[in-house]
Amino acid sequence: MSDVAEVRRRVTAKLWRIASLHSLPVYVALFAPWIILRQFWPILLGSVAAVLYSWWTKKRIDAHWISWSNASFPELEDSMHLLASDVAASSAVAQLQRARLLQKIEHTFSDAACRHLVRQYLYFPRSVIVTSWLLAVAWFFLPAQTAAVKNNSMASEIKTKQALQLNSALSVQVIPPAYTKQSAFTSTPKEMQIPENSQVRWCTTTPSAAERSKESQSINLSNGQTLNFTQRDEAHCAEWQASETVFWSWSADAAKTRIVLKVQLDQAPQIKITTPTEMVQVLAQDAKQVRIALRITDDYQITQASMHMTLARGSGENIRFSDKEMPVPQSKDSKLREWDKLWSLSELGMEPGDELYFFVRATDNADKNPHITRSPTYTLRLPSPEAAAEESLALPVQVKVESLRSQRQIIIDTEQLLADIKANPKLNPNLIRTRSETIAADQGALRRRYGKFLGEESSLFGDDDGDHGDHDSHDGHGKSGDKAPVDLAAQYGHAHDQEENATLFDEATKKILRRALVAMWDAEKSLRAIAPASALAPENKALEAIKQLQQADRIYLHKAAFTPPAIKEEKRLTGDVLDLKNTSKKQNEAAVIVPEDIRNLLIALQRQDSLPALWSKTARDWVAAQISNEEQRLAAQAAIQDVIDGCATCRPALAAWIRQGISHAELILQGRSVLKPKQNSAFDKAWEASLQNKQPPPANGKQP
Amino acid sequence: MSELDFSLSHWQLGLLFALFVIAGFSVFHYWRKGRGLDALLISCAAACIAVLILDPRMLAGDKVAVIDSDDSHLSMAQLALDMSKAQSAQLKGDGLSEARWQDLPRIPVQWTAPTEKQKTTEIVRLDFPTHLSQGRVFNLAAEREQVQGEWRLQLLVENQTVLAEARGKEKRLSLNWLPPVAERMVLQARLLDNKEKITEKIIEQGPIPLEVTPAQSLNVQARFAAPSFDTQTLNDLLTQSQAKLDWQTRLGKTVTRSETTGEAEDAKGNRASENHKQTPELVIQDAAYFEQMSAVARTQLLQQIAQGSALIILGANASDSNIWQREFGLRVSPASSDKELAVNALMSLSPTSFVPQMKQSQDWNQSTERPWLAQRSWKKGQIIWLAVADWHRYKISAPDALSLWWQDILDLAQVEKNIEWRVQPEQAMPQLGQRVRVCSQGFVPQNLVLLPQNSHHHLQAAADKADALCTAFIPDKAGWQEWQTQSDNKATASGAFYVYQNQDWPSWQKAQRRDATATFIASTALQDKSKPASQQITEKWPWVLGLMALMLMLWWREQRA
Repeated sequence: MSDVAEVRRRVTAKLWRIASLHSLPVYVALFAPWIILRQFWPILLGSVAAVLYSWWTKKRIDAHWISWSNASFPELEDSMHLLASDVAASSAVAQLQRARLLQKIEHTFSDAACRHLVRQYLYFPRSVIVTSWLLAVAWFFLPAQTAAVKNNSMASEIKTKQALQLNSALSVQVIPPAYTKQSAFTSTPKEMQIPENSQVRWCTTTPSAAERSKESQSINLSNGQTLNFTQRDEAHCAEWQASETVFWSWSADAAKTRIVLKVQLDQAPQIKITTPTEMVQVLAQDAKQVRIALRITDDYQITQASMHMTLARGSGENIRFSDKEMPVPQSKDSKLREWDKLWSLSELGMEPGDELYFFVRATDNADKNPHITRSPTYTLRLPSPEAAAEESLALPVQVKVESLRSQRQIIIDTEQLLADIKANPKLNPNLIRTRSETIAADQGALRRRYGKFLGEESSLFGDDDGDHGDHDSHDGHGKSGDKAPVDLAAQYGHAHDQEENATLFDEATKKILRRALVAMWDAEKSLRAIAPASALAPENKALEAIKQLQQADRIYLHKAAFTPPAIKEEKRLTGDVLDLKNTSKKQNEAAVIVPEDIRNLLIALQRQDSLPALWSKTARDWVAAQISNEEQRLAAQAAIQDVIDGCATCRPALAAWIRQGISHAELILQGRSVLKPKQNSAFDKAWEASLQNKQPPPANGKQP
Repeated sequence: MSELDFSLSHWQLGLLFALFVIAGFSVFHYWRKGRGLDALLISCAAACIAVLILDPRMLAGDKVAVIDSDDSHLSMAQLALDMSKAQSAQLKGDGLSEARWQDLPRIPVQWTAPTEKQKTTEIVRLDFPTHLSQGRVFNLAAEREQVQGEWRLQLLVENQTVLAEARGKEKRLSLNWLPPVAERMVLQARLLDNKEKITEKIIEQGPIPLEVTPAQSLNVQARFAAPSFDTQTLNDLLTQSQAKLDWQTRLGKTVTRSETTGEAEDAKGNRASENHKQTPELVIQDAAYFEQMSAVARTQLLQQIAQGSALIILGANASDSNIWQREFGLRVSPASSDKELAVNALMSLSPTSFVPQMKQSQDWNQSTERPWLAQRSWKKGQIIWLAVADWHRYKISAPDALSLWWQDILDLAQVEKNIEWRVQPEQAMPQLGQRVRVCSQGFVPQNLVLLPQNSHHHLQAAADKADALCTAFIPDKAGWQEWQTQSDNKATASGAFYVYQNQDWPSWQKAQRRDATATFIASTALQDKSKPASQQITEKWPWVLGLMALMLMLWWREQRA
């Protein structure tokens, strides 16, 4: 008997195990999406379901395994029911058949056969997996979508509702100023961008509404302006010339919808000079032409654009200037003017040694006060050949040849020499030598000039300095031909910048000076060795140092605007102070950083008190004056409007905006607050009494 | 059983049940065999074990109240009732607020403070003044118990614009802001965690109430023997601070330039108002003026300082070292170097020709971070010798640093303005619906009136505050609570304090509850030690001994049988 039971248990257990193994990958597939999504609850639910399913599978196997075996395995001869119960078979045939079955059964229920059976009867529905995946996908995408839809729908609902109300009753007409050449348009009330000085006209479209509340209808702007509707043709309209970005609301609109009107300010024309790139352009000595390219743009139209050129010729006191104005030609696009021209020098009237200064001026077409933009002044310099010095002798006024060239000129000379050598490699070596030596002499003279400030020997090479000393000039540009005033002073007065005085420079200045001198030495050395290329670097170094010196000087040369009182000559140097009186004056008033009305307004806002009279005007003026950022100003104006509308909780926000307008907070020197009651507490009295009883108070420190 | 658990836990119940079954079975067994004495021994032994399982204290009649502080609907009335009946209490969670502890009877409380390992709870401690004098810098500090990576502390105004920000990886961050106007406001502070760099998580955001009160102006007397840019700069600073000046600069032997407030100028013709002039809290003199003073004037000045004023000597034009030694016991000697001294990040000042020598001056002291300043007390007053000059250079380039530097010197000099009274709530964070105790100093007993409710509370002496008068009430409105003290229906003083919402700063509340609980436990421990009464009978050893004796006797009887 137990044999039968044992066999039955073994077979069902085997079937159940194989069924479980069969469904294991299925479970993995089922849970995979949820594991990826990290959803805990579906996995938990799924696990419970899986356990239930496996329990149900077992139940099914127990219930149906006999019929399934009979149907699947013909070799069992449809007699599996004989194994169904432990009760002994009634007939001998049955017993015989059962014994045969028991022999066969191990063989029949092989692993493969079991798998076949499971696949046939306990097949896991694939649709469940598909459902699980679909659900997971839905889970992932749906919440975001629904939220978005929800938000959209809600927002749009509110907007459309308000818009509908306003749209049906009001239209906004914008007439941009004529010069912008933009056409007027009419729109429903909505946020829009309009040019500066546009005429904005709000008109009620439903006459009945206009008639109903003619008086109460107005447009309120955030800057405090109120625009009343007036009868105009057949409509009621309110008008405003747009000057700043505001938001507006309509008094007849119950929701008091705030609609922003962004005003685009008219921009001044922009000028860009692309060539020459340097502010001071030194042309090549043999240059025949020069290129000037410029580009002017404006947001609407350029009405006028011209190039102003000034030609400077000569040197010293004999400089002649000639002015010329050239219109910049128009292009097809009125917003843009481009001029790229190759000027021949004769066209410009330039000769060697001349300088041409030019700038560009452009005017736009703004209505009342057109914007005028002027570019910086550029300089074109055509260097003069060396012969220029002789040429200048021919000038009517006798001008001494300037012998002290500035460091900048020395650099230019060196560069010129290098360029010439490069352009013409077969240049006469003698010429190169003389030119190089001339530059070296210039450099030496300049070095000696600066060396004086350090108390150096004034002459190193003979009386070189003596020769040129008369012509020394400290003019950096070297154009000056005046007799240097220094010489006069040396001759008739006492020399100020001599050895002793030289030591008056502070250490920092001396350091820079020394650096300049060392660089000049190096440059001179290279030039005398006829190696102008290697001289260029120290020359530039020296120039940089000299520039630094000049700028350092500038700090100390601030002009003090002080007019001394007239001196009574008769009292001077008598030592008599009897007439001098003690002066007494009232203490200065502290500068007011925060105006009083603003301070009071802030305090009132924070205390939820009643606000001072005309507070909204105070606040609006303050905001307009102090908050420059457009967005912040709009927000502050909105806060003012909120408080006007009676929102008590908006008061702190307005206070914050007003406080934000305060440019800076000041530190106030003050003492520490110490509690010192008018009358001592009972405790203090008792304490002092006990102290007095015990001992006299200790002496504190040394006493006088 | 080192850790006591007062409610019967499952294991206790299980053990007791098992004990009951086994003992019952044995007793029954012995009884049937007619061995009554053994049955008695068994039952006694079982009783001993039962006592050990249960804890002797419970059996001795000790009742234990359980406080679950995390319960949001904690009934204080029920808790007070439970605790009044119990001898000790067991506390769970972060504890109760100070106000609540005050309402409960003082019995020993068992509490294991939540440790840092419980990383889920955020604990923040904030430190800021709620009342500040205008012109002083507001400082807000926040301290977190656990910090992982960088975090930020922001101070925001009411319109959510950021005023100041501090960031770092330390546990404590602090930021400064200078309020421009004397007003009452509720700022916001925000703690941000940018652990993941991209998305920032707001750890907590809450209100920062701040009342800025107008600064009290100083009375300053200044005497100089020579004009200088430094004194002029100081004059400008004090004028801008609305100090009342009595300023005299000697221009020559007989010529003096003086500068006073308007009232003193009226006093030229009217001597009466001269008497009204208040004694200055601060006297500033340059060294030369002090050196040239007559002995009588000097004595007068020192008497004035001894009354409690502060004297600042600008040492730039000192020339007579003997006077300083004689008058103050301060040894000054010519400066060894003229190297500039950095007094703060932005300013470095040149030293004066004479500098104080600390080693030979016993009464004087000098801190290492301020080697340019020597200080001593003079009875109730203070004397400061300033050994640097040329601060006028920073009037334009670093005006704020200069003001702060001078404020620092004034604070060192203990320049004080007296206030007559002070009223403040005891709790750092008074909350809606929780008892707030307000204590005042400088008043005679009178009424404290809360506005606008107009509810009267009498200020009276408190047992735990020697020099204060206190009252308590339960606020019914969050926000600034204005108050007024009234005596004979006349207002004597007024002010406001801030009442927080219950949901404000939960993690700061937690920190405060922990602190209050620790304080409470510490105070009860003191009380506990003072009366160690009923503890003896709760010892365990008699029961263990008894159990062993009974078991031995049983074993002996079994052996004999």
